[in-house]
Amino acid sequence: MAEQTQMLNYVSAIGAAIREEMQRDKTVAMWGEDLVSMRGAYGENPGMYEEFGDRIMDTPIVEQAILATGMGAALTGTRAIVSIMTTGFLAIAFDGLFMEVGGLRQEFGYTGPMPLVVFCRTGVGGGFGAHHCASIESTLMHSPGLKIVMPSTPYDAKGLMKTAIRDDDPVVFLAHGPVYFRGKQEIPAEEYLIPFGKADVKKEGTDVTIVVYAGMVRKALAAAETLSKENGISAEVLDLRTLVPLDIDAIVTSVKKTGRLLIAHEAMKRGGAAGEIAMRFTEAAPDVAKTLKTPVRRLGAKNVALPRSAELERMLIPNDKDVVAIVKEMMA
Amino acid sequence: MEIANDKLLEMHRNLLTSRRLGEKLYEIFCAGGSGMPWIHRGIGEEAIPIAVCANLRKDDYLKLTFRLDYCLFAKGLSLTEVIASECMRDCSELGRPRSPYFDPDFGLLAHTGAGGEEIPIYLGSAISIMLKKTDQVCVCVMGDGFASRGPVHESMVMAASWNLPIVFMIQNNQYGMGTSAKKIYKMKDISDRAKAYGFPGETVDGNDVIATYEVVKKHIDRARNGGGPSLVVGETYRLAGHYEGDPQIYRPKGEIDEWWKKDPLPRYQKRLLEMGVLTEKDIAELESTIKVQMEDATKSALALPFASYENHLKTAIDEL
Repeated sequence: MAEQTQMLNYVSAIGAAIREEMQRDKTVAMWGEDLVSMRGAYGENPGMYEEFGDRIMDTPIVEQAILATGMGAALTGTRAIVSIMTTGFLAIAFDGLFMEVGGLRQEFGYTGPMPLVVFCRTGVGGGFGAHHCASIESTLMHSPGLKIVMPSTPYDAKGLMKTAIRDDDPVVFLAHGPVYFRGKQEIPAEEYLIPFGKADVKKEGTDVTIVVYAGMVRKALAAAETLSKENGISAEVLDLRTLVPLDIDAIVTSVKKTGRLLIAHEAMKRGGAAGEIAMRFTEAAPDVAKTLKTPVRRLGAKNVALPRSAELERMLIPNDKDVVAIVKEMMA
Repeated sequence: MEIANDKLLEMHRNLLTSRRLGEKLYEIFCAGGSGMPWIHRGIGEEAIPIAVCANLRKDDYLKLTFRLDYCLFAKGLSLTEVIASECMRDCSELGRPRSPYFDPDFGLLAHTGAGGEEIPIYLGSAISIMLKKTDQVCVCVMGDGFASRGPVHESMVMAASWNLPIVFMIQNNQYGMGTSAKKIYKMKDISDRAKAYGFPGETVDGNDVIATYEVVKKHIDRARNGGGPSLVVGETYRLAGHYEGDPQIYRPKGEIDEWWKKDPLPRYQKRLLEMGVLTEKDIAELESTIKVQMEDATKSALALPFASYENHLKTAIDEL
């Protein structure tokens, strides 16, 4: 008998994960702006209020309080999911996230559980400006005590959200907004979880390793196809899925095979995750780094603010053509 | 309100202990080498935390102002644990968390280095109470300075919207560091702020133990019974500088002398003596008992090791 599956888009897959975990564990509760009134600011919680009642709650527009109440609830018996609409709004709650959620347990040496998921929409597209599209993940990587999840597909999003909810440490789940409603994927009806710190080879290849996550995965796959068809170059696309913990072993394994490493993201290049990942690779495998066929390269957005213009935005953010161009340089 | 003699005496014992503990901590700080990084003294303001604690159970959540954290002994911590926490010792040997100031089982979620930021964290405990449908409460005592921070405002908005079981308390010691509360608050009665949030507000003489106990009790009982949040303002005075060594150039001449006359400890003792609940002999006996307790606790606390590197890294994620 064929395995049961369901077709879900990205945002429904996340909703399905939250629903399953709320059914499984009565201590799971979620709050944020418009989760009930609008069934999620982006429609990510359909039917949940009807099913779970007061375990799904609307808050006032108070990001600092939403974030920090999640932490306090997580310390006192609630498996909390707090929804912050966008990464730009997450920045408003930055003290709470960086100093308290990330740091306070360590500051006082408290080693008990703090099961908190900070669910937040990220990803550039549409020309809405910084507050709705900013990619601030590298800033979060700098914080102690935060796990950072950035899934690219509905399948990954579901499995990683379930892991995030069951995790006893704080997790920042950055959902990629531009793909929320873009295409459905076949998802097993049966329960599955995806562990943190396990990158996924989205396409195998032998000439160059392209390390990507979230919105850049799709672009890297498109580039890989072009490179293969037009240039005979075999690119391996490695989707990190979580930035913290980082699957450095998967990067090293892939680069050992290809001898070339490109790291690409939609976030700004300066101070971005790519620089950190490149150094982590070098530190973890200096022998492999020494035998590289070409120096490590990175691709990121220009170091300017996100414009309120989709046209300008497209000029700032790397696309598949940029990936093709830089890989061709690396192969030259 | 009739307060049982046992409760009156418990508050006296705790008030006297808090005064002597504050003095002991100052002595330990001045001696140096204990591990205490600095000291922000709470002398003169002890009545509020003691009256609040007298209304709480072990499983209630409580945040005190950072300069009076040492009064958490009245919430159930031992004197040893308090002194050890102030001296950054590791209490694991006692079968307790490294710092008993951060122990959700005792209703304590620590404090941050930016006061006021922890108010929404504590509000989260009120959400857990709501979800678990227990009759616990959360009390957040904050200084008049930090009370203006954004997260405090957001917490009050959210607590009102959700009718959460929390009592916000502003301990107005008249100064936010060196800035007079009068420069900040442009109303006569600070508890008027509550009106803006749509919950009750009440101001009390925070140097009067009995009055504070009664007002706080009323609002805690209300929260415990599903009545929702409220704001209590306790008027008091910081008899020491903001930090040790503070030249206190901001105080008007004579102000501190007036407030010494309102020191809550002798005031409460006088009241209890008049009521016939306490005798001079009782006070003298209690003083000698506390003295011994304080010496023992100091010895045990300072025998504890400093916080370990291993403990600090325990919740670290990914590579170091």
